[in-house]
Amino acid sequence: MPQTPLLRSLWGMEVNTFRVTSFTLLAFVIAFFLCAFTSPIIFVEPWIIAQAFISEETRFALFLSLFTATSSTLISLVIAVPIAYLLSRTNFRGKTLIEGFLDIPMAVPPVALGVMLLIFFTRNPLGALINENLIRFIFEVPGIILAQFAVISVLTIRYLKEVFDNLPARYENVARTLGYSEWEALLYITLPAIKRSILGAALLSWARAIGEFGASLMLAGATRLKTETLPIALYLNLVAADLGGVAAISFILLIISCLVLILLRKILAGGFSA
Amino acid sequence: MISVLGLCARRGSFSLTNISFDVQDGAFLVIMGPNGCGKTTLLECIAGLHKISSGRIIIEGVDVTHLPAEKRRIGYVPADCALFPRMTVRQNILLAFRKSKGMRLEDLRKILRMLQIEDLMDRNVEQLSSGQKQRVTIARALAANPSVLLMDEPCSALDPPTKETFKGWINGVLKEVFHEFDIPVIYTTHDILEASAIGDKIAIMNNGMVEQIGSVNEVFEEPRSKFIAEFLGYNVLTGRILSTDGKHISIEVGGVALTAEGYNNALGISEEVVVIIRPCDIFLSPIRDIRSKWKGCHCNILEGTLESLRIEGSIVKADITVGNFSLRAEVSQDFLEDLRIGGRVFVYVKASRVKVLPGHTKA
Repeated sequence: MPQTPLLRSLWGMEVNTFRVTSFTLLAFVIAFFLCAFTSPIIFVEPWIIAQAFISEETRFALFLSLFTATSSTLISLVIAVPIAYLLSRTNFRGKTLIEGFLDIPMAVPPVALGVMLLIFFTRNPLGALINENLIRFIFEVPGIILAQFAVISVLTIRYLKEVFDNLPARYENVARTLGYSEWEALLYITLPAIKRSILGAALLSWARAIGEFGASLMLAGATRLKTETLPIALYLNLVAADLGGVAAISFILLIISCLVLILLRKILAGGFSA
Repeated sequence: MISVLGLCARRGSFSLTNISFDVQDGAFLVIMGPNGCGKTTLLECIAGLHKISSGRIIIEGVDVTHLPAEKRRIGYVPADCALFPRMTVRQNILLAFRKSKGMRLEDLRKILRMLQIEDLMDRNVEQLSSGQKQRVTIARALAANPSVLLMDEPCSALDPPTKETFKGWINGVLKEVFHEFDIPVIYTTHDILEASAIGDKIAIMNNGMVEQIGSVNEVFEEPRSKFIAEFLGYNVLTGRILSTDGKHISIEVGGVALTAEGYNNALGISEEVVVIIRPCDIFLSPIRDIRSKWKGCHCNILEGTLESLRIEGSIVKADITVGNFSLRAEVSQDFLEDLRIGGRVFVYVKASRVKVLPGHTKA
């Protein structure tokens, strides 16, 4: 029996039960996150938030977060570029095993990673030696950077390997016939060709480092105005029941995330691979 | 000058075996062979991009066998150009020029002018047409001031009209450029017409080995093996020797007797042989009539049936059955209207154009 549907098309789109169902679900998910994003701003008194925004603590946490995340990203990048290049371009015995090994730090919860590092620097004689004589990691800012590095380095390697995999090795081969050594070919031909993709990978790693909480908490602790990054400040403020601080910092983190996403789109607008 | 001596290399289960040749300065060697015969691997071995297991490579008297790719000074033009992405033509060429050691800027300008890419300098390489890419890639290879130039199937990526221009261009402009440089050029292709149009010297490869090397005329006129004859498009038939008289050989092929000029005295009576005839050496006629210009030379006249005609460009290819074998022939369009498919035709082949190879040459 032919039925005339109530609505055949909406905004030029065909309407059927599948679409109605999925659009309802979509609307639900969007509403869910919108509620979460806006609540700290709407339901906390504005003057408390404003105060928290300009407080020394917030400014310190923001600066420390930007500093540590940028440092750990740069260190990861310097280490990950040659490693990712090697993994992408050469085949050697045990490569699959090594690649599998590099996946472990990504699967282990950051808190556990932080605890392991903590035990390394306290109980392991080598770790203790480094911590006592070289760089103090425990309960210090370098500990934050190391914790972030532990979480993002393997991630950076993986992102970059994918970038290198997308660029055929022929360019480097031609560069070598022109007189460029393997290092020079990487530096003068490969990296310029994929600089956008590398920037994108770095940005993703950086965003991950900004959000890093568990490993830093374990290794560097949560000392007010010392090892207080944005996520740690969020935690400290929540524990201290400072609602204004919590709202201000979550708002800042939201802004940073949005900026990262916008930047990423801009960077990758020219195409991710070569 | 470049000399390759007994080069062997492996790539997976494929291997290059005992490859030797040399190319003089200013000369052009065309390496030809079917896809997968090892042409690209050979070029990569010469360029130092693929490890060789034995043999030597000598360039201008220097043994470069154990030098890394960047110390060999070999210009390499890969089939797909591999222009450095996200850069301009200028950046690509300057990257090469920076490593040129002793090339003057005027020389570079001259290359750019001869290859007609002065106007393309500020374009991104992604914006170039296939022919422009090809020219830029050659300019980039030359800008590094190489001692040898390797070109891997430079025509294969071009669209057909560009390909025609490029072929003419190789003979004109490029040869002039290479002459200016006075370096050996090694060029691979699987296209016979291309090879015959440009090569001075030609090497035909099969399954990782060089089957024959010589001047283009020599190889095209006197294929040394059944494989080469087949690859060059000859009619390849097997037969048995009936008689020889020192001047002519009479061979039985599929129930028909053919006469060839007897230059191969090593062949004995009733020995199995391979008979090769070029399609363009076959003349077809609907009537049994020796043309006046063919008088005086020994001519085979065979009676057969015309099976099919195919027009390919300006030539017509015909399949004819004679006895119990078939022949391919090329007919000029002028004679097309005299021929009828399924009808009787007479096949004329001069005895001097029938070539006999020993039967035990490997396929």
